[in-house]
Amino acid sequence: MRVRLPAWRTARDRLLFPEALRVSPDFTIVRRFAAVAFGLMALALLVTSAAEYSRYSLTQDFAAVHQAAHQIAHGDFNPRDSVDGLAHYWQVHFELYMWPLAILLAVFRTPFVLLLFQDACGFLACLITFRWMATMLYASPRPIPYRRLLLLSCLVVLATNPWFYWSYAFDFHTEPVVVASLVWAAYAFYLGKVRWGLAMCAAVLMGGDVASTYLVGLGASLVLAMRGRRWLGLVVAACGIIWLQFVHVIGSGLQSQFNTTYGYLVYGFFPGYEQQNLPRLTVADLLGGIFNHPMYVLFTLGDKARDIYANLAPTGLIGVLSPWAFGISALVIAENDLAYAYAYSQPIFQNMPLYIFGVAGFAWMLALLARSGLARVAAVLAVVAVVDNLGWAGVWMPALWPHWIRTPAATALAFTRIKRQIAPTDEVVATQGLVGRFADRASIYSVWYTRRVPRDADVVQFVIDPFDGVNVESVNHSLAVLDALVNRFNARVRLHDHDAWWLTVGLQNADAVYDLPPGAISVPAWACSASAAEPRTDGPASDWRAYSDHRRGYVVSRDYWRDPAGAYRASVELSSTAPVIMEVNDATTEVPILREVVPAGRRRTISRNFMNLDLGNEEIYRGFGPFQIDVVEPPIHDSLEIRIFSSGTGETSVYRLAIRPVGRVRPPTRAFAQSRAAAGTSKS
Amino acid sequence: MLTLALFNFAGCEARPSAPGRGKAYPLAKDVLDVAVVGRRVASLRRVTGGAVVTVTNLDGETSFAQFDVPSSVGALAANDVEIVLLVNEPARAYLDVRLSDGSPEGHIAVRRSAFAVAATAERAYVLARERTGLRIVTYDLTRKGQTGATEAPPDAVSIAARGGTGGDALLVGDRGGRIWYRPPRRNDWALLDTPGSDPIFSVPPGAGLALQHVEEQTIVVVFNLPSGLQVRMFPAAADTRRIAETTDGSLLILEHVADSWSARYIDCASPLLAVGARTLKGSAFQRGKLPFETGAEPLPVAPPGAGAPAQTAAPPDEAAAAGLPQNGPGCAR
Repeated sequence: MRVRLPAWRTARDRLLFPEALRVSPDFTIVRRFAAVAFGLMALALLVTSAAEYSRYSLTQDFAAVHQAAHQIAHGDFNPRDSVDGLAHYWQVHFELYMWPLAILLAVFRTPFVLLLFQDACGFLACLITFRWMATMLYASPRPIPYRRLLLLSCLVVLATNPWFYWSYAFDFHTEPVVVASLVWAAYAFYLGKVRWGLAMCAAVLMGGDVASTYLVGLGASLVLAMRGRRWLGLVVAACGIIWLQFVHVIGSGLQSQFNTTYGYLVYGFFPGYEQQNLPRLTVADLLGGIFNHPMYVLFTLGDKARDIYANLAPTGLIGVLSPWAFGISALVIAENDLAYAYAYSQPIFQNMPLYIFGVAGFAWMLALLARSGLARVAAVLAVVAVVDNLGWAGVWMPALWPHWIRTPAATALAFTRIKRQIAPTDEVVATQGLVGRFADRASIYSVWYTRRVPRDADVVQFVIDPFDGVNVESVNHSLAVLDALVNRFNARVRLHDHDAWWLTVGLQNADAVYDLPPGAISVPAWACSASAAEPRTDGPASDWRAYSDHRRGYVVSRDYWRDPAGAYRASVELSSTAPVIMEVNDATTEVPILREVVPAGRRRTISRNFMNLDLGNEEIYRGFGPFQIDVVEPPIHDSLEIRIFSSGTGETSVYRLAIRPVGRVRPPTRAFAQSRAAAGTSKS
Repeated sequence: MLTLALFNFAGCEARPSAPGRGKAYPLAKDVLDVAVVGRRVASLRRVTGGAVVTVTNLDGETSFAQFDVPSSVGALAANDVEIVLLVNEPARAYLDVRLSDGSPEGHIAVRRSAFAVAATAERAYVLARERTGLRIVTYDLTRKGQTGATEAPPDAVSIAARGGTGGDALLVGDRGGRIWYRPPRRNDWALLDTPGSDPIFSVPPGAGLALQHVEEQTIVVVFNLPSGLQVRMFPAAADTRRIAETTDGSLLILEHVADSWSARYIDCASPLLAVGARTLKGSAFQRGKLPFETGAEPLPVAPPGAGAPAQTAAPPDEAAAAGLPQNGPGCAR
């Protein structure tokens, strides 16, 4: 007897599964597998986003989007992007979808909804891809051998690609959002629904200039795949090119920094990050540069070979060769892997179309092989891809949270306390690794990105955490900023808790601009208090210190300087009632450079010279075995660190720490004569 | 938008563990003094009616040679092939020069107040106390005679010498835990910033090693020469008496614990012994990997005035300017 399903389940099945699959005897098992796979996927996305949000592990890119959405939601339809230093948000990439998206923020009143929206787009993209793959394998005049195995394998490949989760774990970006529209457009064209496809292409254009380039790639794919409708591909590509030109002509796309990213293809050298005297390059310039310097392209792609493989391997690898994936994949690889350095080529959100179209293409290739009498080869390839994906996932999924969530729970609680006390009319300047959630105030700046912070409000709140967060801001930079805030801008410490510092500059300060130092030779010890000490920030700022009262352990630590090889002088300003030990370490190699006992004494500066050989290599996770990637390399110089250890027999106060270069060092030849004279005096 | 890969700076990521302390080889129990000759350890022992020197291979088990020496031997030194014994008899003092297999090479009369000796391939330096103060007397090991004398730093107790084409350099440790350095062809002494005792020259040029005692701990320090700035330190056994380097630059830490000696061996390739600075640290990007490795030149960086410094620009060679050697690890070349 045929069981009549509830209407909602019937509608759900019609939505998620193509007709050919629904009438197949494989439907039940495929549906169960899909339910498990997509259920786990949704759970992983949701839990990761919730954890990131609760731990303040949202950085500068999230801050830019959060700020724009917040302003639109509050009635300012021409929002600014202070975190990127732009007067208008539309100048960033012309991401028009931000305006309707802000409705969600207006309704739910929490920026967490932005993360949920991004996750939903990724989830939707995977659902569409799965339906597309089922259509390829089941909507065939003749049944494809092993099609159930092939479809389930593709489903596993789609759901276990670690780069998918890594992409959605990184703040909020347009690429993971528009990929849903992009794959929807491709699937619509595959089904022959041209109007629906064009509508989705229009949705892709709402993603701005970067997204518009995807239409060029999609157009190329359509030209290759739709023999009877190649004109459609040309139309789609033309739409992308026209929109890209339009966006740039009206003055948007300012964050698509062609000079920095691709300038070497034209100039033959890396033009640097701030090129005031070079004209802004266009797409035509880049194409001309590639034509004139083709070997640069080869060398660069050679450098990026490992990352290209790493991006494609968890998608089934051969999927990129299918006509439906080739155009868009080639475009994304060219965009990301011809960029200078590894910023875009490493597996991350910029490669998002590869992770979706690569798997769809993989299903197409398997179907082709199975139809061509190579069904067993297809089955073997499917199983190999599953095993390979499990390897990638096994190596990289455990690293997901440690990589993206680097704020302890106690520190996150401190941030929550701080945020509650910051008024909506205040300006916030925060450490880059935690700035994301603070963007719903009057204006927001990142300490890492903005060296000259304009004063936009009467009260400016600084939230600095030198040691936590997904942070590209160096510890020395954070310490130097804390020092400048206290000593130059008369900032008042409002709260210190678990390495989180909240300082306020109010009306007592008349500065209109705050020049934040990029680093410092001398840093305040109170900001580097270690386990056996606490910061004392009472009295005049010159007396602020790390104070230890008969506690055994380190009084100060984690005061990192990154300097090239050479001769340096380590200085500590301290006082103690018992001897303490001064240490200078190469923190990168964990090798102590010098250690000596400092006798008890009043406040004075102890200095010791040492040599930094800079022999270490900063470690950064790259995977292992065949599952490695090339990442943007960490800072090249070793971290030097001064530590003060107290045996707990007295009080110790450490005021300042410094490591300064001393240039060329020659042996002090006069010392011997002086010593001889002293020895002679003592003998006589 | 923010396009850099996100990673944490120091303090948050896992660190590689520190290198191990090397392997220990046992030496005889009743040893009085030890020295390294080439890649072997010569140990002086008192026996009934005299003394013997045993030359042991670095496996700690097989002996290369053993020979009798006068019972009044006071100190031991060695270069790559010879062992120099400082003999202090009641009526005279002399250097007994032997090859590593014990073959006598001759005697050199020295002052009776001599108490420490160091040897290079051509010369022996003897630390002697005279009425006018401490002096370092130089003897030619080939001609078997005195060739000069110079004033020693006050309170000197140990001496090390390094031969070279430009002349010999000396390191002297004094009673106050200070290290003095005399560069080649110079007569003045420099007091080094690095404190320590029993200093020696490292085999790769441009560095020295010494022992330090910090709060009942004994540590080995590596310092740069000629600047004298400390480069690194690592722990040794509490009762470490001597350190010496073999001809390839490997370090022997001669530890004396509970009436027995052992030689702890640290290979010259260990990062603990690296003395050369790394001045060309940079990105692997644009170096050209396979298959473009051959003939692929790195892209030049921006010319002056074209913009900000390139990401892959090599840092300024401050190490060379500071007098650091550029010979990488601690192995002799």
